[in-house]
Amino acid sequence: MRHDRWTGYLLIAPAFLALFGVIGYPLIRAFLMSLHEIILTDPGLGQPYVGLANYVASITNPLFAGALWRSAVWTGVNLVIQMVLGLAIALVLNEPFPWRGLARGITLIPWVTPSVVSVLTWRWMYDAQFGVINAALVGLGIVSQPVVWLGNTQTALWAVIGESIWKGTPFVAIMLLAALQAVPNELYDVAKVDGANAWKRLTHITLPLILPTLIIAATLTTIFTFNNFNAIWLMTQGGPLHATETLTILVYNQAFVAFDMGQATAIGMITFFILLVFVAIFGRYYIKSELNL
Amino acid sequence: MIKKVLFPVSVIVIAAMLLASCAPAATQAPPTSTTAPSSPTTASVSPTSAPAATTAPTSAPAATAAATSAPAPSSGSPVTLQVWIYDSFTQPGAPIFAAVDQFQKDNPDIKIQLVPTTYGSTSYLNKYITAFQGGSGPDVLMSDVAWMPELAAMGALMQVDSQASSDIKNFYPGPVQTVTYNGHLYGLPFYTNDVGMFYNKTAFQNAGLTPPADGWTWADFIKDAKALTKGNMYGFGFEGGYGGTFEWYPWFWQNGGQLLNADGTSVAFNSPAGLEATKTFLGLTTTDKVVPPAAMTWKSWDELAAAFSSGVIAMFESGDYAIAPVKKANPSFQWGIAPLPMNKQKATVVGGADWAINANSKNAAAAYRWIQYITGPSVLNLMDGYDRLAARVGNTDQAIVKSDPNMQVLVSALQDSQARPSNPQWTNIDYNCLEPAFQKVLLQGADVTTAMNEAATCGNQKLAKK
Repeated sequence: MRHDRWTGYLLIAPAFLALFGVIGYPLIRAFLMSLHEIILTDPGLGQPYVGLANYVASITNPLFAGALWRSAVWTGVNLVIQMVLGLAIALVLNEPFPWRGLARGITLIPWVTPSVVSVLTWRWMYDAQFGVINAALVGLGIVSQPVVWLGNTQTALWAVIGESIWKGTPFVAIMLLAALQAVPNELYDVAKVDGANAWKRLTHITLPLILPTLIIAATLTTIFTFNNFNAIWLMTQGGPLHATETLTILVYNQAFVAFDMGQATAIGMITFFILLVFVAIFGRYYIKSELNL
Repeated sequence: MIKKVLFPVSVIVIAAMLLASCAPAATQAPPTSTTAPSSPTTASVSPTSAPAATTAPTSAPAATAAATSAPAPSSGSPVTLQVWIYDSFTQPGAPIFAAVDQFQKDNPDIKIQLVPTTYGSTSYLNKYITAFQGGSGPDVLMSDVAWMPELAAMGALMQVDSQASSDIKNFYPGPVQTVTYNGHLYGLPFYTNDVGMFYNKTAFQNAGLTPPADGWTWADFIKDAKALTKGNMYGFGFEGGYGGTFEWYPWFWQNGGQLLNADGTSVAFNSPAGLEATKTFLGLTTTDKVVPPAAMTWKSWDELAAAFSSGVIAMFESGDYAIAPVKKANPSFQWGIAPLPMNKQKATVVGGADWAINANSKNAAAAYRWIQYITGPSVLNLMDGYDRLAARVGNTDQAIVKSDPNMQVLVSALQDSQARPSNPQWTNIDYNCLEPAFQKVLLQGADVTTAMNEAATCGNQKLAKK
């Protein structure tokens, strides 16, 4: 039956080739580019091999440390708030109440809104002259002068994070809601009989049972947020004065504003390896949970 | 069971997301990503031109290439020219479409395919550079005069010395300078403009101020701006999202500053005259407080026109391109355009657009016929339709100049206009040295002298690189 194995390989070959074409080739090509000096605006330069010089230049570039830090803040704050809010919303939506179906549908609206529409709407809401947020803050007397949310180096990153939380939380909520629905009601009934209060039921029944989904949601949110380009680019283009320049934006700026493809791909590769760590955690956890079951 | 499905699915999802982090490499690789050939007869985008990206294209063979390819169109199917044009020129019913129809009628061997492209340094200039370096891009492009030196220096534009030698006499010297690089011609001028002061006549009247007129000074301007700043209105506004560098040029020149030294080897904008002008201009925001905080995010003339029309700002510096947006907003007050205020001398900044041919284009002869036509005698009529001023001699006879007093103000100020340096590094210095310096002053309260000296160091590094 040896030929059966070859049939198997043959059958997955198209899928493998397709995957290699869209993932393997660009990855290898990006890696090779990161070892050369490629300045698009200076074609006379050729594309000399420079070894790891692009990596050294990237890491010593003062913009890199700033972007790395902002990527961490951007991803970390988004992750924590989206998970907490998402869980809270999922718990509420899991309780029976009138119009629950409608409430579940409305929850999804931010997530299904096209990114461009959502970002441009938020940009108007943040506007210092016409924005509803400033109108509310000034009207309530919280601030005396409108805050230029997106034009201020202190507030721009937080303003962009605000939009991202609004947009990303429903995804977490819906994933967790699905997990909550799979928790058998009998467990809660038994716990109630044993005298467990609501908090105990949450920490001893709900959370352990939805943990696998919680971890998947957290990993996906991390990767998605870390790589998010449009939310920031459409709102601030990384400005003002690099205040919202994450690694993703830095890669774009190096590639298509400075036209330094070598450094851009070097930073891209570094970003790739940072994300690989998260994927490794995800994969390890998955294999483990598969074996346990 | 669900998990078994979920695992491979999520692996693919994650792999796809990871791939996004290498996006620049992925999108850069295929040379035709931004321009897809539209019809089988299109000869404009050819994969065989890809190797051009790695070698320095020399502009010398341009003329011979044009000459040899000239007889080609007469036989066989028409050539299709891909033409990049600012998206603002292709609104429904825009005059350009009638011009294209006329051209195709006169030249049955050429088909024009307009590719409206969003104006902006990243959305237009950088997109063209990327496409060009990938061996593709349009045959012809409309280009901001400020981008021409950089593109010509890069070898991205076809030299048109021989074809244009007689046509070029039909344009004013200023616009001709914008298509000239190192003594060679790289296109034909399309339209030209300068900057005046848009002002709210009603607000001036209500505040009991004399309306601005030719010869008014910085002191007059600041006094008026302060008087106009009350309630919800501010005296002045500018594109703070870019640090206001564009609006700053006239102030700099009005004070007698020079941007570069005589031989273009170092920057000169941190001279005492330059520092004084910069302090005055940025001081409008930081000390005089006649500029709304909201202006710090404004990045387009539409935003300025909206702020002006809704009474948020009483004055802003702009050119004829802002007339249409203000008219469209239909403000509830009287408004007009005055010459810019002066200090040591009068000055305004010249802008505009040119037509140029992609150095990679396989249809150079047809491409030249298009740019010759679109900048030809009919351009005067065409520009009337856009409320703009053609760069061609005879533009003072344009209907819009005769009928619109605002246009007359802008036309007569052209004699005081100065151009940004035709150094290929200048745009880079503007965007990456001056803009951050201005933003540091505006947003973080940095000292003007320190910020300008930093910008000078940054600018000199860029000049030394080349």
